[in-house]
Amino acid sequence: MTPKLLTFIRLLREHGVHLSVAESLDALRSVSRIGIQDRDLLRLALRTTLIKSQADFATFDTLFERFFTLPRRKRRRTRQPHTSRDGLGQRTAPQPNGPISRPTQPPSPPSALPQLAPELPSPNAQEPSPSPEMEALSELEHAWCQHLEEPLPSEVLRTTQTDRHHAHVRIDREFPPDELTDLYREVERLVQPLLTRRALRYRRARQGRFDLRRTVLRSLRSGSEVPFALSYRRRPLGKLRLVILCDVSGSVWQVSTFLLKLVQTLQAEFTQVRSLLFVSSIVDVTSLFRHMRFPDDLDALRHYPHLNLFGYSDFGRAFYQFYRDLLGDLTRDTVLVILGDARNNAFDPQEWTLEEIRQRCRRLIWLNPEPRQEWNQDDSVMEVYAPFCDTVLECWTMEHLVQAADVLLQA
Amino acid sequence: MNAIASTTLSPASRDLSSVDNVIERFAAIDYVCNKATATAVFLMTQLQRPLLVEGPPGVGKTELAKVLAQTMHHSLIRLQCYEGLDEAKALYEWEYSKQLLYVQMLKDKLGALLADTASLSDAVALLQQHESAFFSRHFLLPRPLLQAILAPQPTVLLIDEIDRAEQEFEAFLLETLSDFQVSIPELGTLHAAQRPLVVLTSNATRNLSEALKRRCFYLYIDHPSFDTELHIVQRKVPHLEQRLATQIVQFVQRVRQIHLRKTPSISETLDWALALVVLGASVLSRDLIAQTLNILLKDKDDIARTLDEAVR
Repeated sequence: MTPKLLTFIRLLREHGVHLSVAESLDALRSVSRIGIQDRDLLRLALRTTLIKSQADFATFDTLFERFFTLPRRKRRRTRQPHTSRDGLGQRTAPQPNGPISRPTQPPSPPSALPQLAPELPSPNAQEPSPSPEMEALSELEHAWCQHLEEPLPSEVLRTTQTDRHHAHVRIDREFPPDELTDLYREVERLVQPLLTRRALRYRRARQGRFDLRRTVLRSLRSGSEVPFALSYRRRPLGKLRLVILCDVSGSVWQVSTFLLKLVQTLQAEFTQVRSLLFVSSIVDVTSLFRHMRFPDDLDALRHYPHLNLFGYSDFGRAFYQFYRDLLGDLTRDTVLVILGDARNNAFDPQEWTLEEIRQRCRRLIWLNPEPRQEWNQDDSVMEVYAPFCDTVLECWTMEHLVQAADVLLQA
Repeated sequence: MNAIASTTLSPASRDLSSVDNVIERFAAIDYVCNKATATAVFLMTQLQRPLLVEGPPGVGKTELAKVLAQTMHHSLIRLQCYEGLDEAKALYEWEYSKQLLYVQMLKDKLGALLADTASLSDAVALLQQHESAFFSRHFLLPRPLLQAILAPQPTVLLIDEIDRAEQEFEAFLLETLSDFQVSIPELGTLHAAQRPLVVLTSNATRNLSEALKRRCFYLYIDHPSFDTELHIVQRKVPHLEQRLATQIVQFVQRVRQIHLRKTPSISETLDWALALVVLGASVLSRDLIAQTLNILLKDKDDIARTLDEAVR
């Protein structure tokens, strides 16, 4: 049984499930306790020990079904009687990869056969003449290998492949909707270390440094020589307000949604998060935003009243509207993040409004979803706006997004 | 039921002997579980591995640990995780005030002890010999993790809602979970007399680290199926009529299909069923649902939506 299980574990690995040696050992041990009589129990035992995420359950179940089910012998007629005459030992030994190797995927399937081969023919090794049972057995083996080789249904593969996304994924393109869910989760995962670091900073600030002077003074005041109560010098960190102003015109929509997801992940780190979207005029989506589910609720954003997604983006107009209506909303503790490609479609940039805005807030961070070399080309007016921003960052991969989060948290 | 109770008392059968045995003995104390849960529990007791239980809130993850402790006749030690939980709260603390109090009270004794010493350095040297008196187990305040390690009897250690604690705490847990030993600088390394059975629960609000998952067995408990839920409701709410129970469970199962902010859990189903029993209801009518839905659902929009879609 052990080689068979190891083959199965290998198969799981090939389908993108991360498995350590320790986990394989656990699986083997658990099978020795559970036994292999009850198929369902075997499945549950292997799943409990090998699979550590619900997302991988589908992959596991499909592979288990396939691996531990002997296929129907539908290819019986393709076997000619004369080939079976050389016996199984000969057929498997000299060309072990013969019956199963397919030109399309050479390395993975043969792994199954060499380990199985010693198991199957061994009892019949001395037997010179081919028996009908042996023939049936070898046929089964052949069919089984082919059965394993068949590609998995696409919905199973999806969950495993997107696991491999790293920080370098470009986010300024369209994704199939099923991949998006995983990508948004990836944003959360990538930002997690930053949050941990920040939590540590907050805790240290809350606890404060030991204050010897005050400790001694206090103990003297109550007449005791031994300082029972320790005093600390505390200087708690305050939280900031965050206002994000996102361009959501067609070209930038994708990156904007990722920024929104990022900000949602970070929202506990700010006293208040205000989310504004614009193409040419601004709409406030703060109320929608707090409990928004990605990517299910994005459509609700897209169809928000007054948000003309197919219009031309007009930064000057949006900034002027901000200057006119929302300037009073900015405080000394407000960090303003603008996401946009600064492609102003030759409208008036009205950069003076941005200068006014800058003077009313703590920091102004501009994220540009285009690679740096494309800035200021054609109708991009990045250089007009850049002087009024504290930080201008490019933001078109996951990595950039995390950098942006870092800047935001340090603001 | 009596037969089971008598078998559980004999020490030989305290351990869970098979998966079916788990199901049987859990059922004896009114915890209905499926085969997946039973397999996971059986394996964790057999192989002494921590069990990580994930699932939506209110499906009985914490209850599982309690039931396990009860079945195995172990005591349960619970560590509730929250944002900002650190080692001092989870492992141990020195009782500073108690130490000081003892110093105060033993002042004369100390004076007498140090009376013969000639110089300050002699006094310090002498005191150092007695240092262990002040850093002994006596002044150690064990928190849940250390309690579980020091306990002479076998225990079940429940680490609840691990996803609420920060990742650094997770990393700290790794050491404890793999070796069951704790190094205290003043005392040395303390080993567990017996390995506690560890159950970790998580609501999956964030992904746990690979390293932690690798050390645990994994169980995902989802909302129960119709049959299981009906079974649970009948067991936990004894005076409920069969017909009403079926209606309640049918309704809840339908509500779970709607896209709600917070899906009703089994514990809320039970609350609702209890409330309906108290109200003396016999049939689930539209008015009755409208009046009592706030027990099942705790969100204004969810209630409105459910009344809209599920009640027709």
